[in-house]
Amino acid sequence: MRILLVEDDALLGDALQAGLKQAGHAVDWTRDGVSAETALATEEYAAVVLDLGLPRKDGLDVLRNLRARKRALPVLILTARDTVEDRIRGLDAGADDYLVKPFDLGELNARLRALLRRAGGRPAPVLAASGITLDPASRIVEYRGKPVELSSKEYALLQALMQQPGRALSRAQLEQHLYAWGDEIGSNTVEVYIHHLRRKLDAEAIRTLRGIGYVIARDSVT
Amino acid sequence: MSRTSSLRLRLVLLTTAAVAVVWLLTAVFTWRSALHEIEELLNHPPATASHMQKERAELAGEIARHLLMPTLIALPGLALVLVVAVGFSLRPLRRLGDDIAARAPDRLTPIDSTDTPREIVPLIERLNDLFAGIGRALENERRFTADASHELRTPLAALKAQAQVALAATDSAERLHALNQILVGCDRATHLLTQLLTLARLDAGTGQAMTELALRPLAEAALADAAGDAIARGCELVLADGDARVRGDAALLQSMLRNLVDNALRHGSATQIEIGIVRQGKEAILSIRDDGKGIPATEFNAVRQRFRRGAGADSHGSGLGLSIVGRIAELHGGRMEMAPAPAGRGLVLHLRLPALADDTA
Repeated sequence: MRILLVEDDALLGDALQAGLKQAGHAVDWTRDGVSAETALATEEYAAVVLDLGLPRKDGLDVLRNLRARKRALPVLILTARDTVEDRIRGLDAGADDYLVKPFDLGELNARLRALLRRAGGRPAPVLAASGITLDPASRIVEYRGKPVELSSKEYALLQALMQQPGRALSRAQLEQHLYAWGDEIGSNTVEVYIHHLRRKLDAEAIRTLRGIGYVIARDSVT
Repeated sequence: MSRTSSLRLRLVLLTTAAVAVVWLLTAVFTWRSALHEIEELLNHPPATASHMQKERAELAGEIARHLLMPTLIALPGLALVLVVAVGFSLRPLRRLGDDIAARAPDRLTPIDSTDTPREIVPLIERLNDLFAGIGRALENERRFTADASHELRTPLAALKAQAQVALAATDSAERLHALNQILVGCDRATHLLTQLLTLARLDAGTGQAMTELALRPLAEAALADAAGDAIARGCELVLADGDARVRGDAALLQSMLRNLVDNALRHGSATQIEIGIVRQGKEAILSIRDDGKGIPATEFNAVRQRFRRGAGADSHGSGLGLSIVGRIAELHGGRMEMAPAPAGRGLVLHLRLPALADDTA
């Protein structure tokens, strides 16, 4: 999943970027409110991790503007202020969740998974389709009951496709999920990862829709 | 009648009334007994001259005794009345004492001064001023503590997150990076704590050792301290000609200069930092100019505030540097001013301090 991280503190931002990458996300990191708005206007993100005390434009204003444009993007706010009023103000401005500094990286990732799950309209934490199960918490992928070892890019690509089984994603959309700013994008890397996934899972697991993209078939509801 | 009475007026009125009553009683008593004696004398005139002589002496003695007796009897009564009167007059003072004694240490609401004698109104006003001052100091302290604890949360969050990244890292380069960042974070948290303590001490405003001193040696020391850092950042340090003497605390002024140089080095990405000291009229002006990226004039006020960093600052600072500089200038009876550098790039900070007469010239 591609995440926008908005954090002005160099050390905390660096740690969060690394931590979110470890959890398999592609992370874009902006350090002030104005750049955050630019990023939100130009890129597609699965979720935003937003610090409230930002230079140039306050985090709450960024959040209000985002909600004013009717964007339903999940937003998790990070705040140093821990009074009830501060939390209420954050949630009322449109945040989906908040964490008070200092927080646990594991908890941040778990809350993000919960937000992404809810945003995808799925109550179950484990994604399942076409015999593949993917647990975002443990990052364990199984195919027909057998564990499959995946690299982090392969995992991210599979997760994107499993997010909404039955819906095709174009190569460009998949690239959006896989790469943050500054990442080197090879000309046919998506094809390479799809190829790897098919080899590790099953040639039939991921289907190519010519001219449209790739899809994992939804399990038929009986 | 006005609501503010006078303590003095009350005392004078009450004592005068008490004395007047005793005096009147004496007069009435004396008048009556004298009347009686004179009638007696007229009704039974003495037969002989020697009798007459005796009667006259008796009468004079009688009048004197009657004049004295009621006064002697009334004196203790008068004393009693005076005690009560004084006590009654001073009741507002006692009430004020009780009110202050009954206060909890943090109840600093002003004392109501309506309905109190005029003499103690100034006292109440001074007390109310004092309460307001203490209230402001307490409020500052409270806000400072709250701000400080919030400011410490971010470095702590960074340390924790970096440690967790290091623990979860799968390759050694990533782990090494995170561990190095933890060290940087520890240094930064230490710097923040030092700055917080400095500011807390400055706020208390105690422990200054004011002596007459020249600014130039302090500037030389501050620049020498920063030399290593400046070389690492490719920045040239310059101390222009000139000096001025001020009355000040050497340690505080040194800390002020170090903060100024640090600030210019960290936030300006400057290639040259120049300190100038000039005396202008009654002011010693210490200027520090850099050719870095400067601060927009619209943010001049914002960056003076505590914990406010300029946009685009590398955020390794505590956000307290300029607050400390401003506070030290204030403690020396001076002030800090900011302006864009004349070269069009960078920032100039002027510290205006009261100068001493130049006896070195």
